[in-house]
Amino acid sequence: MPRAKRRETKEFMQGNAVIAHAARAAGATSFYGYPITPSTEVFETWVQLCGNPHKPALSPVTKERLSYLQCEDEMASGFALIGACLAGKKAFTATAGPGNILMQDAFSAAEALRIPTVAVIMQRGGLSTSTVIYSQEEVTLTCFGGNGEGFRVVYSPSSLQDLYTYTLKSFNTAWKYRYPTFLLGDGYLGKMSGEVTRYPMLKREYVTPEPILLGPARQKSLSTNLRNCYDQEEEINSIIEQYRSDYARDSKAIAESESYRTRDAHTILIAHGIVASAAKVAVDMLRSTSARVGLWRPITLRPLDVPSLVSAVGNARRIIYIESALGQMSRLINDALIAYSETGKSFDLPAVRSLYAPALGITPTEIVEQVLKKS
Amino acid sequence: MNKQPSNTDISLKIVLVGEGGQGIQTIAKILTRAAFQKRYHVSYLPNFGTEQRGGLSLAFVQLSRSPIISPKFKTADICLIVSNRDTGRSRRYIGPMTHVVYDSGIVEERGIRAFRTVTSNVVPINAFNTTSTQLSERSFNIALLGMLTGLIDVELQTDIIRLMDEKFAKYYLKDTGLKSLNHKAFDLGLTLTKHA
Amino acid sequence: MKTSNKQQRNRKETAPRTASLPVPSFPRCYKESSKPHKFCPGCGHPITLHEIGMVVDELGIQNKTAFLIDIGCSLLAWDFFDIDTTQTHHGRTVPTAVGFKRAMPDATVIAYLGDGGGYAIGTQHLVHATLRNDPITVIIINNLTYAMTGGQMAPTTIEKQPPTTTAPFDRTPDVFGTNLKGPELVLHLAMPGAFVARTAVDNPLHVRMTIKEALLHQQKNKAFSFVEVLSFCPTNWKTNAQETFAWMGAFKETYPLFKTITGTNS
Repeated sequence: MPRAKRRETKEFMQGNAVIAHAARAAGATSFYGYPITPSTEVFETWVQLCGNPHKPALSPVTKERLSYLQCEDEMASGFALIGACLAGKKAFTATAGPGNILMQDAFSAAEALRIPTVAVIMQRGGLSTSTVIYSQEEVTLTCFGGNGEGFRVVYSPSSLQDLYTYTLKSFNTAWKYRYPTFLLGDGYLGKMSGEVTRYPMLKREYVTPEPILLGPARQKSLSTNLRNCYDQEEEINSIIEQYRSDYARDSKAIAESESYRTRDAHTILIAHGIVASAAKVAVDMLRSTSARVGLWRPITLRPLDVPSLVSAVGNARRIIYIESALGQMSRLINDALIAYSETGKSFDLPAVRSLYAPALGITPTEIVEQVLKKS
Repeated sequence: MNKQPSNTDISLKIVLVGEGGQGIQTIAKILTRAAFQKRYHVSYLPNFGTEQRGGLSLAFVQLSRSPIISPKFKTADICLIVSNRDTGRSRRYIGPMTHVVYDSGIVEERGIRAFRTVTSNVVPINAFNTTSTQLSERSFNIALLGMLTGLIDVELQTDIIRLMDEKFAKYYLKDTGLKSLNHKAFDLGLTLTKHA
Repeated sequence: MKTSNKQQRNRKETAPRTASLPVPSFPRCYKESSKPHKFCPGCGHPITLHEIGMVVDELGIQNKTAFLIDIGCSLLAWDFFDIDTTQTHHGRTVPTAVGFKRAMPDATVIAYLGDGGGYAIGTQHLVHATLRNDPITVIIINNLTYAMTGGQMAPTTIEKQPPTTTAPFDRTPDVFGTNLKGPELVLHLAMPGAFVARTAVDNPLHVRMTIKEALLHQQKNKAFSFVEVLSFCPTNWKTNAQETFAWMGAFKETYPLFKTITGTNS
């Protein structure tokens, strides 16, 4: 592990604070946002890291001043973020629930213009305003919000340590491949406190941003005229087809997953985010009784790691979808499996069962009970 | 499937049930931070509604000698109830082995009935009234911290008091009597737990 | 999505400079490949854009200007200039400009949008950019109608004119409320030292001088600058040239031209 060589510090920290620290370590220099529970401490911690605006702290990576703007609403936050990215700065935002809905206006534009925005989404209860606590009901919105096709990268971290790791990664992925990139957490992950190991980013991992407007092209006297409005249907169709082929190519490098004790498993649990952590504990509990159970966990919900998925479920007798929503994750997986079967490769879909607990936390014990339940 | 599935990783699971303004989240944070500094693996998860004051407020705390993977659990080892608003929701986290401690000056018997059907380990402590009479109503949150410290088997008392003093340092400067009041309240909570 | 054109370098040298030849004075920062432009005959946009181009030339800021446009007719300017541009919608051009300027303070940043984006669906962005004194230049084209969507009522439509498809029996205040006056709103909200003006396309030189002052204000005073351009839309007004100018004159009674730098007591 290259991480062993880094300067590591283990700390007791809240999830939202972990993200702000990781963003600074990733070379982010600005935050644009609007407070909303349960994401607000990402913003508040970033403000603390910036220090006095008259004498702001400097980025440990770029040595530029750290800054932020509390915007008038989520549309402004999202579009100001786009503005900062156009000027070549690693910038980010954080939101949740109804704020995520409003911000999709900007994310849809970022998808159309291939702007490397980074957004932290802390899922709260679903169905409009709902609770400020927790759910996994912003999966569809985050993956496909707006009038687009989901040309985005969505990481689903499972632990406080994941929040650190994948915040660091989000900025590099966004700027390397130029897709709006999301860190899809939830109210539990954001609000919980626990131990996390922080470490600086390695130079060789750092993707250097450059201005999209008034950048290198301008210096060569070439103008850049971006737009996301088109006259002819063929015109926009060719853009979308181009994006589709880019996304298919880049997916191979971006998609990530974790297969946990799946090799000989008859039952494969499929869960993402914090529910996958509970499922992992459940797998260990069940394995101690010699049950042949494993976990497949998508780390990226967009794009999905289809080869790994297929190899994990290919030999299983059944799969169990587990999520704090009514099938928002399982729809993604089902679609991927159907698309895979359309490629003509022989593949038998195992029996499918589900444990859906919309807007409720799911504990390892509940998962164990579900697995042991006679159908 | 002969063996009962078990998870030996987790050694102590606590759920605190109070309401906004009581300091439930603050004392949970102090407890977990103290345990972290004693090199325990810890997890603290708050769970509350939209109210800044007065709504039901839950805190899930875990301390363990091995890494904690999941912040939420099915069954608590200890459940401390100091709100009358919860007449069943936190029953989800109670099992036959759970020790339920409730404040008899706040929680009415009808609110605790649901818990008695699950576990026989239900203990009343008259903390709120005692604290109000002997010290002051506003010391109740510190008395709760003392109670919680007394309820757990883990030796964290000195660390918890130190973190409490750090947390209140700037208030101590403004209010010179506050430090001794806090320490008295802490000791009172501790004593009440031991008597119970 | 992206088009890159060779700048018309050396245009100054290659263009005929003989005094006897009447050469139309197109700005050097025009993008030749996008001409003729896409605006309707008689539209006020190309007049305004021409003047912006002249100012950009005069100030020599072609390589350091970000020109951000909105949805509505303003988006037809997406490739009007050989200047770096992007396009958003619904007035979000203003926060995009804010984010860009904060990240690249040396750039000259222009948000160019219509009265719908500026005064209805994106009003909050104008309000808060004003309150923050963001050092950008916002130019709003007020033609009293939603032009690209075919002549619906705008926040700036006045009681009798122009005719609109969504208030076909006039914009009577008892039903539709009153009209919004952008620069007056900005004046009311601005911190001291903001540049606020209204100009009108029937006097292109006035437009040019106003925009020049606004851009200089952004560069030198690092403060907010706001220009409303009272414009015409004969297509949706359904007016001939004479009527267009007559209406324009009348509209100035509701929307008077002025120019000010906000004082210390605002």
